[in-house]
Amino acid sequence: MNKLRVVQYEELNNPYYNMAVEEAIPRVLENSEKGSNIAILRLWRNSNTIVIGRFQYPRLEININSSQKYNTYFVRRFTGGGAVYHDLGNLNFALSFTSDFSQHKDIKEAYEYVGGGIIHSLEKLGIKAQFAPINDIEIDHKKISGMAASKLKNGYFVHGTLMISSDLSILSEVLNVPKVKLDAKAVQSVRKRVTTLKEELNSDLSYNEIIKILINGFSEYFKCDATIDSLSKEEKNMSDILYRDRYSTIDWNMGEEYKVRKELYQQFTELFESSLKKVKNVY
Amino acid sequence: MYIEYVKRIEGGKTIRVCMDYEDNIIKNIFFSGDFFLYPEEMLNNLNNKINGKYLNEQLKNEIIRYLEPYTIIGAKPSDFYDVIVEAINSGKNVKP
Repeated sequence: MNKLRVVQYEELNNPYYNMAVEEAIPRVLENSEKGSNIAILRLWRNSNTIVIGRFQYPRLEININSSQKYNTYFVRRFTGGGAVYHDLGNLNFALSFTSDFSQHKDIKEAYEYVGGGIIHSLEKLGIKAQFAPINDIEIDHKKISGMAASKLKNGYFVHGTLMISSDLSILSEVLNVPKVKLDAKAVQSVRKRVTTLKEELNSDLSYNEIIKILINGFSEYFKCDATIDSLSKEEKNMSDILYRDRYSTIDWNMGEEYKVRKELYQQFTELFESSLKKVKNVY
Repeated sequence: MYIEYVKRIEGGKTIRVCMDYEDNIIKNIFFSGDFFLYPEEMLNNLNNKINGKYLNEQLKNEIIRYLEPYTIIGAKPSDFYDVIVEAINSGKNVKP
């Protein structure tokens, strides 16, 4: 019988550790021999962080002047897709599951499956959202959620953002979105392309309220019971390793280009080093 | 000459290329963008494969042959060659 394990682990002042946990959970699941009919749902937040896609470079995706102005962190994730801005008004969801829990012929189907859980949850708030291929969820053609995914040895990992009350003015200032991308979406600015639950409902929704709605929504949509759990010892150990060897390193966060064109990364290096210092003071 | 170019794939994602192009040879090439490629590690190998090569049909076939076994979402293997061609034809000499 399928089960949904819910983990709400977050380090609000350490986006690098948050990203390590994000990868550790599916890595442990794909190497685990037991409990393969369990899906793991992680719900969490980052404060003031730009998260770039696996195949992106900070200097091309981040407006460095705005980033310095707002003291934003930046971190690279292990999945492809585009850069996103996280603040405490944004909720991140991450689903790791094997094919014993749910079978899909390809990754596009896995996006639709997980997106279905979000859409079902939003219906409970009276919001009609649609899956917008390849990897977005929209309300009246405005993006409320973007997803990215990775293949596991025997399943999928799909994660995404859900904007509850994100500061869209900071978001549109710190991200450099190519004009060709905005043209393809027929919008003039990022601000016009996105929305939040607060804007849609015309009222505030607390983080705890939306957490409850999502847990119930996914549980209903997946037709299984949900259990609240903490990070396992294996997941914590894997997170520590990934934090040390990947997410807190300059090489991972800057990417391959940094090794060849270091001179273009001076401001980003300074921003990264000061952010890491801040994190290490509190962690 | 340093070239930077970004292309939106119709119905797909964005591919950006940054590279040096001297005497018809491609150097220090880095693809980036919001596409998805599985396994993810394969993009760096593609960059390395193209470095030091001439732009010609042989390179196009090499890129396609290299990417074909992998899953790409938001682009086709040939798009990675096309973006290089368009970058060079755009004549944009961007200072890095």
